[in-house]
Amino acid sequence: MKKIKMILLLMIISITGITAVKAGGVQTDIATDPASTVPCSKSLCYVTIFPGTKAYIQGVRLTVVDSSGNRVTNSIDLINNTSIVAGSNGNLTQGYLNYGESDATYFSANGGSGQLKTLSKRYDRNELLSTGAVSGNYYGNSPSVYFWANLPDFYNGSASTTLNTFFKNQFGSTYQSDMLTIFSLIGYKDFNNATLRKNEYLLVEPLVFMRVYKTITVENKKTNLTLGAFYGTGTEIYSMLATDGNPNVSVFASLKSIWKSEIPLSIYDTASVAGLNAVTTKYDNWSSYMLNNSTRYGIASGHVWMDDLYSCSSTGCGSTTTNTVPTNPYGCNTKPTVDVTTDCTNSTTGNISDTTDWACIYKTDSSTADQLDYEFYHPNNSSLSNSYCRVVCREDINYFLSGNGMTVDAGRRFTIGTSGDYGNDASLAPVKFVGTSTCRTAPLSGSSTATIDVAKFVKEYNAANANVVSTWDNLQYWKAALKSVDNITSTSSQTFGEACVQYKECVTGTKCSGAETQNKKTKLYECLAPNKMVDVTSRAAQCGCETYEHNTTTYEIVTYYGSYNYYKDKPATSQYQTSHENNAHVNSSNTKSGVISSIQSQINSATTAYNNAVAYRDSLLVQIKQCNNFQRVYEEFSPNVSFEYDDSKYGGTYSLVSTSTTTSKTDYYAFSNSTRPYSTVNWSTAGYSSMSGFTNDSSSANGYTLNNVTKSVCSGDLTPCYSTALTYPANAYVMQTTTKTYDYSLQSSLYQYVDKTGASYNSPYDIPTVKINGNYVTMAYQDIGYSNLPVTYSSKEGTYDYYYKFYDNGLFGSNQKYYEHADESSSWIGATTTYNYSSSWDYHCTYYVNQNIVECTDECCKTNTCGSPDNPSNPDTPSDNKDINVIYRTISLTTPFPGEDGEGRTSGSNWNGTANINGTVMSYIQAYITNNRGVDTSEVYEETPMYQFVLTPANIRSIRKYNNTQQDDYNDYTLECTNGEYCKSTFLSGGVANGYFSFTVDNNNGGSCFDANKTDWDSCRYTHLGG
Amino acid sequence: MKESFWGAFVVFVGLVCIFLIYFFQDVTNTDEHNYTLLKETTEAAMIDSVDLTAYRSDGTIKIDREKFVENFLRRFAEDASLSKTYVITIYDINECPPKVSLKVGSTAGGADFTSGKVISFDIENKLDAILETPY
Repeated sequence: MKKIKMILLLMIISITGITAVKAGGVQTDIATDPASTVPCSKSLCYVTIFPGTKAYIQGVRLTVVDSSGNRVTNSIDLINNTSIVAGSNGNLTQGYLNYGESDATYFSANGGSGQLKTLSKRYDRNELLSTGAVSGNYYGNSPSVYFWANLPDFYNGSASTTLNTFFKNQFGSTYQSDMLTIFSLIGYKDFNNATLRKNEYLLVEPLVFMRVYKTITVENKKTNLTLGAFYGTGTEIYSMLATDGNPNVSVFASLKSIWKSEIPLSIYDTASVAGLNAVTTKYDNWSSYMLNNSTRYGIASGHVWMDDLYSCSSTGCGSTTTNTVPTNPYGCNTKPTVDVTTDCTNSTTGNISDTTDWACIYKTDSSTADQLDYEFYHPNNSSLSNSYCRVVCREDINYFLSGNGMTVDAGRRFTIGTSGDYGNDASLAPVKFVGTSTCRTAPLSGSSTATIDVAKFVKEYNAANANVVSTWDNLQYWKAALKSVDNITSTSSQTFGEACVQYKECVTGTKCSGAETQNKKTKLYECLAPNKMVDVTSRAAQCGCETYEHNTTTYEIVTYYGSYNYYKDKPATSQYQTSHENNAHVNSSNTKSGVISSIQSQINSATTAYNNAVAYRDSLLVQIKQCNNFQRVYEEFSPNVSFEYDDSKYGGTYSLVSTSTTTSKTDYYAFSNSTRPYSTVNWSTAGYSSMSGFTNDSSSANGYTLNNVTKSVCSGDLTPCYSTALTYPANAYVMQTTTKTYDYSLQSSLYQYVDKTGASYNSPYDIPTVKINGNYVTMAYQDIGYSNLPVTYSSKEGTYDYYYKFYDNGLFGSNQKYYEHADESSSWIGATTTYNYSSSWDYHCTYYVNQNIVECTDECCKTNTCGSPDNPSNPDTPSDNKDINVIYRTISLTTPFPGEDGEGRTSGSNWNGTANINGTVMSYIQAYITNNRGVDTSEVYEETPMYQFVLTPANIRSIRKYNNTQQDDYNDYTLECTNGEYCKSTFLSGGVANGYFSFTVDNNNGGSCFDANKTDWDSCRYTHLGG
Repeated sequence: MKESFWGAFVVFVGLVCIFLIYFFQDVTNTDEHNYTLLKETTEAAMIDSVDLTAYRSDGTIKIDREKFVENFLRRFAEDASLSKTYVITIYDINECPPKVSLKVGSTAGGADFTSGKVISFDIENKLDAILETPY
């Protein structure tokens, strides 16, 4: 019998049980140290100690499945041993499986060499694979696995090392950051969806690596011959053994307890869950069940209910701890610090700030411009892009909101954010949002210093400047060359004769026989080309036949040599030729015109090259200045703030409007390690409101470190360049700060108009009409002059709620980074899928209503049970009727406020004050009681009456009839007023005509104030007519 | 005859007494009615004429002057006697703070006040009143 050794690697099980999952739970009962119990049994041998010294689980496969066992996510294989996960760069980074067995068998997507195809049904797996789905990350030429440093070794030791303890009590809390990363890696996003989450489970499967070998003797030495190596979950390996046709599978499966019971029961479900049947009976041999296609048991697998795992509540899952270091491509904490207040009892200020770790921020500047996947803004290429710097920005948002100190009288009003602006009006203030963008020059890619690369600028500028000189010299050369054409310094000539003169073109391919013109010999000629006639024999060009004639005339070609100095001792030369018959024997390019044309062409090219060189050189200066003078407009920061308050009639949500101020400055630092700026420039922000992105004042060169570089100035024909000193900014780095402050107040015309009934309206057109003299006109009203929020007259005294909301339409602005550029797959602020800030970031506070003057008269108000018209079950609302809480007193004009002790008492507050009566300042009491109308006490009855009427029985009947037409409503407000004051009663003005009253003989005009208007409204009281 | 004379005298005196009783009773009742009517009507009219616009605007307790006069006349007419003619004289109305001084006179029967005849009133009642916030 063969002697086979089997090694179980990686998963060496000793788990005390995972319990308390939703549908029953998971348990394990292997409590063995296989090394000591089953190292070898009869013909089959195996050890189970690898790589530790005990039976450890050092790897798990995690998958999220639904209640039917369908896969929700990919799987991920997590191993805590770096020697097994080769190529990993740290916690939760990917490597590949390294057991020294290159031909290990495992499930894969393509079933390549040494691999088994991913199953499309659940025969051997504990989750359902839909067609085409792949089982996580272990496909390809070698299984890829992740190193997870925080995964403990699980063994049958203390309770703290069991899978149950770890995944139930620690995975979602202590290791929440790892959990979020793992969920991100497998693509799980349902944890904030309570409906989906409640039907999902985390499937935990211990991983196993197993090598089966037998010992053979080779040259009298025993050696181990590997029969097969397998990697996967327990059920997978068992299936692989069967699928692979390994003849030993039945042997060790049937004989070895580790495959009969220990692996299957290493972790198992005690209740049916996620499509797997509960293990209610612990068989000694689970072999047949491992390969049962129809009935699956929850063996070698455990399910953890997501709600148990992830501390979910009605508002979400998991902790919202803000200091968790996220995993991102930059390897540092890019998450902002969030200090949000939701109630004024805690704080009236809030803050969200990016990290101040600039080294971390710098790492992100290689991310896509304007995308801010990892929080930090850097300008796009069109705004700022050059060779000497990059720019990244961080932000701080601070907001300051009103507290709970406002008290307002019922029936009055208050304003928002305008404290002190409107006298004694109650006001909620401040409502202020301040955004600060700090942009700093970042290191260039590949550079380790956070500085502007001034040295590179100098080097490139010098080279560019040299090129300017070079191109200028070249241009001048050609300009001199042009002049040399007319500045001939010498000539030469040469005489030529015997030319073959073409009379007409020959036809290619034709041959002719003719006499040679010169020797008169007959030869055979062939036309090789229209102008080329050759001797057929010699193939030399000849003249011949009748179409060509040998010209015996001689001709002369004269060459002219010109020279002209473009700079001193630096000549430019030229030459051209002439011949008789209009240069018939000179190549056109060698003629004077041809040479001039050629030189002119060179001049044009040289001019272009020079201009380009100058432009390039100047652009370098612009770039270095851009690095110093850029300014972020910061238009992204534009919070939308609304206010909501609790009032039975006027309560609701109101959008606030803002006024903003913007400041911008740049601090210049001389050295890369400077902490104090060398100088500061405050920029004008005029025009910022109409700009976007970045702006730049590159013309400015003041206020920062300056150096000089040589600049060549070139001008004037045939004049060499001369050098000047050019000043350039040489700052090591700059920090530009833009601060935008928004102060919020009520939108215009809000409840600005109050009619005579005391109701407030946004527009006079909303005010009800009254019938006066048969015509319907707008009821008299007063324009308060500014927006306000009324408090219902009938408001019961007490504390009322108000809220500020600033998340609508994009948190601090629809394009602001915390909203727009958040990575929704991560737990960043503003990520709508993970931060439900829309409901949780309400700022709540209270104000107090003092029922000082106007009392609530409605029963529901008195009992604090008022509803609203929109509430069918309680539509009972205050009618806004009011009972003025003032005391009506009949008084003595001599002692209007008598006290119990006979010495008088303090009057009500409305009688405290002074008035200026015809230039004399006196108290209200004196002015209006004891010296009423300017006379002493009861002498007022000797004055001309202000009003005097006679009511006869007929008049009385008329008035009663009128009252009937008004339904006995004495508050019909048929008044004609001037902005709510100086109100004249139309009842009175038409009273005589309508028979309501008549006048006396002595006062036949109705009294001194009858029909008074604005101009004599007050003076009529002081009119003495000898009454 | 002598007895008859005394009888007639007694009857006459009785009638005079009845008249006097009726007369003074009427005067007394009218005075009481007028004062009550004046006081109550003034209170109601002052409350009704409180200018809520002014209160919302600047928090002051103010009455509309002519609103008070109108309201007073309409309320007074509702409860006034149809057998009397009233002269309502308002000597002072201060809007803010609210204070009124007024007098109501009445006489039995009608009188032509427009004819230029001198009228003497049977009853006159004066009232000075204010609205005061609780102190």
